[in-house]
Formats: sequence, structure tokens, C-alpha cells
Amino acid sequence: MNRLDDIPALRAEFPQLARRIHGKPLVYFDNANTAQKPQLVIDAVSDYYRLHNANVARAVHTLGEEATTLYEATRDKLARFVGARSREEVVFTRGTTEAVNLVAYSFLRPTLKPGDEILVSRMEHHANIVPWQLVAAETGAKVVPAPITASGELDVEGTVALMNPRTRLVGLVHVSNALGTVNPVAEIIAAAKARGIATLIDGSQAVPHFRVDVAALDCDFYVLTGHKLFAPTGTGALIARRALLDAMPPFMGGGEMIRKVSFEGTTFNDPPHKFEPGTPNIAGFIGLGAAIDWLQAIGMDAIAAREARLRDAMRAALAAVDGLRLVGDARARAAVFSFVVEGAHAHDLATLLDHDGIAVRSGHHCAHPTMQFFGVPATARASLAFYNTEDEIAVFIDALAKARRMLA
Amino acid sequence: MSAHPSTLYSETVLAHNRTPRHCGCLADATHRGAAENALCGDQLDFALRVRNDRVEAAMFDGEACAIATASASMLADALHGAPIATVAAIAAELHTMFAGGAPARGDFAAFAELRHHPARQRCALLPLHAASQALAGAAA
Repeated sequence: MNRLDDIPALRAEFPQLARRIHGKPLVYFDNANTAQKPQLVIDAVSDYYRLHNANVARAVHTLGEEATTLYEATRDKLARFVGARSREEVVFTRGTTEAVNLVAYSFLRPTLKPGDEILVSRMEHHANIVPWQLVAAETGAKVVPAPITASGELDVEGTVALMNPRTRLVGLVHVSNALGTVNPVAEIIAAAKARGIATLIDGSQAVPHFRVDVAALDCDFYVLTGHKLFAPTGTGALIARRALLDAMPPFMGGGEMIRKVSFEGTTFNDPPHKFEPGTPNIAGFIGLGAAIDWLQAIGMDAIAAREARLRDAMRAALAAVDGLRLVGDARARAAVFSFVVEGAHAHDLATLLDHDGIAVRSGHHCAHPTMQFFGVPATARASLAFYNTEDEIAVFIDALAKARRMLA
Repeated sequence: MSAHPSTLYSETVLAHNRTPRHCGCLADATHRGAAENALCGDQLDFALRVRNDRVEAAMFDGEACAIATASASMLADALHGAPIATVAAIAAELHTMFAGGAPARGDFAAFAELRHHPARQRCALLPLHAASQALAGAAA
């Protein structure tokens, strides 16, 4: 039997889902912000500290071997999970933000010239805008926004039309955290590749929700974070073509990333270790490995199917709320809904919903340009995971109506 | 853990939010300032007509949450005819109240519950920032 056939039992694996907030059962609809962690992940982290704590890739004693084996196993698991071509293509980072910065500074900056362009969509998270702006400002290159439509879809034709010989890289979010849009990344990657343009896909909001096959997508860089994937914070990865990683200079210097150090010169380790200086978040990555095992036991296709049902139920329920406007209503979308309610500010809604035990995010979702495009300073956002239920959707809709009555 | 929201969204706060006082454009302002809440993008403008260090008229404009709107309404009310030092005094009273101290003056006391909502305190302070920006800037 699949775990998804017994949702109460599955929910019981998440200690935090049993919490009560202001006396009400927690309805956690802030999964796009960070996901809750199953006990198994918490145990993996705690077992590392209780039983195996040692530094990785340095010590030859038993604990060092155990820690290294557990830690490096996550690289294999993650490589398989996202369809990387090899484990050497998986560089561990603190999260998506560091992974994008790594590409910006190590891959792009050394060859970026005045007039060069970096094309990113108007629905990007700040993490896929600001690092490019920083390297562009240093080199005289510029960041060009790719257009989106009023329904929050990528304007594919308009985006491809902006690709030109000066375009050095196209950055695109796989699933928008602010709008829920699932982007046609394969189409954009193919168009960029045909023009010799590098591609980076931000998969932060994609990998927790459906099966991703990086090799099939054929992008140059795919970035993701662990904490949205039911794993600890401070874990993430850059999945990159081996040839690119070989050619890229180190991003940060230190221990572990070197082969030989002398004051006359230093030779660097091979990828991925070349990009992983210092002692990493060992416990966190062991937790990430546990989360991936756990997700694969359930099956990403089964998860995606359940989330599609929740998404459709949520979409229908929200459409029936008086005065509510969805911000972004793409045809291909995840169970992430940004909305505004007439006469009720997002922050007030979020505070009032919290008092009914419901956690939603309010604000700009680290996507100022997206908010500017839609002409709203802030939205409320409800983002679901497969452990959410239709009953919770009903609780949320009732609380929304109550909050709106209060503010009216 | 905080109390029921009705203590945060009290009738005082909700009434100011529903029908804010002194909201709109002050044509003969001598000082103008703006403040933005980076968390939500809310922006408030405060316009003051000041003579001899006294506020003769105050108005605010902008779209913001109920807490910020109510606070702006209260502030504009409190500033009419008051010395300009009142802006800093009220801001100090709010900080004291948020830290668990004495209630702030008048309707501002309705924000006492914000001591349990640190992330929302800046909403109540937003109009204070806008008004102090107005006073700090050159005359409009």
C-alpha cells in the first residue's frame, strides 16, 4: 500500500502537523516557503549527531568513514532523484541562492563583457535576479527581463525573440513561487541551446512536487534547495554539466576544495569538491538523503497526482470566494495560489488566518518585479503539499470569509 | 502565543481602517515624506503643514494594511495643532509599549497587542517613519 492511501498515517509522520496554533489544529499552507520535515528526516539528523558525528572527507577513523559515507550517499541519491548524468555533476550548496551565485561568479563573470545580456523572466525570485545584476554591474553587462502574460504565464515567443548573440545566459524558474506557474522549461532550454546560450533553471519549487529529469531537460545548470524538499535548511545543490564545472574556477577557497597547496601556487580538487570548501552542513545533507529516500518510496508521480487533485479543489474553492482575485492563473500550475482580496490587505489576512491556525505567506514573496507587473504591493499565498487535505481547504475558505467580514 | 485577534483588530483599529481620517492630498503642505515597508511593499506618504514648529495640518496617502492605515489615521489626528516633536514622542511611546511598557497615548493604546506580533510592529510604525521623514527633509 502506498503511504498516500492513508493520509492520516502519513500526516502522523510529521510531528509539526499535530501542532495546535491559537488552540486550532495547524493548517500548514506555507509549503512554498519551507516544507515540514518527517520524523525520519529529523531522526537522520539526530542520529548523525548522536552516533556518527565526525568531519567528512578528512578523517580515516571509523566515525570519519561513517560520516563521509552517509554524507556522500546523499550525492548519489540526489543525482538519481533529479536525473543528473553523474554524481560529479552534483555540487552541494547551502541552497538555491548560493547555487545561482556560484554560477554567476564562477561561470559567467570571468567572461562577461560590456553589452552582454542575461535574460531572466519577470516571474523570477530575487535569487535569480540579484546575483546576475551584481555581476552585470561589475562588467557592464545587463539583465534583460523576459515577458510574462496577464495570466502569469511565460510569453514564450516574446522570450525567444529576446535571445540574441549578446545573450549569455537564460535563467528561468521551473515553478514560480509567487504565481504557481509551471514554466515550459524544456522549450526555452531548447531555444537557448540552439542559439548557443547557457541555461539555468531554478527548480526550488519543482523538485518537491513532480519528477524532474535534468539530463532530459538538457539544461546547463539546475539549482534546487533542500528545505522545500522536506529536508533541513542550509542544504541545496547545483546540478551542472561536468565539462562546465571542469572549466569553471573555484567560487570560494578553503580546505577540501584543493589538491595541493603551496605559497607558490595551489591546485584544485576535481568537481564537485572544487566548489565545496570548508566543513559542510553534514547533518543537513544526511537529512536530505533521508528525505529523498522517503519521497522515492512514495513516488513522485503519485505525489504529483495527489497534488493535482488538491490544486484543482483549491482553485475551484478560491474561484467561489467573493472579492478574491488570483494573481497569476496559468493553465499549467502547481498547488501554489497567490491572491488579493478586495478590502483586505494580505498582511491582515495572514494575521487573521493565523489566529484560526492557518499558516499562509503574505508579502511580495521575494519577487518585487512580479508584484510590480501585476500592480499589487503584496499578495497572500497559500501553497499546498501532498500532506494537505481537502478538509483543510474547507477550513481555510471558511476562515478567509471570516477574516474578510472582519475587515470589511 | 498571542491572544485572539479581536484584541489586535479591535473596534478602534478597525474603525480607523474603515474610515481613515485625514486621508488624501494636503495641497499646501510644507513638508512631505514617505516610508515603505520592505516586507510587504506598503507605502505611505505623509504631508504636513508646519508653522513655528507646530503642525497645522497633516494628511496621509497610500495603500497599506489595516494596522498601518489605522496608525496613520491616528497619527494625523494626533498631529493637528501639536508640536512637531510629537512624532518622535509617539514613536517612542509605541516602542516602549511593544517592549511591554506603558500604553501609548490615546487610540495608539489599541496597538498594545502588537507586542505579541513582532513582524507586524513595523506596520504600526510605518506612518511614524513617513512623518519623521517629512520633518527631516527640506521643506516641500
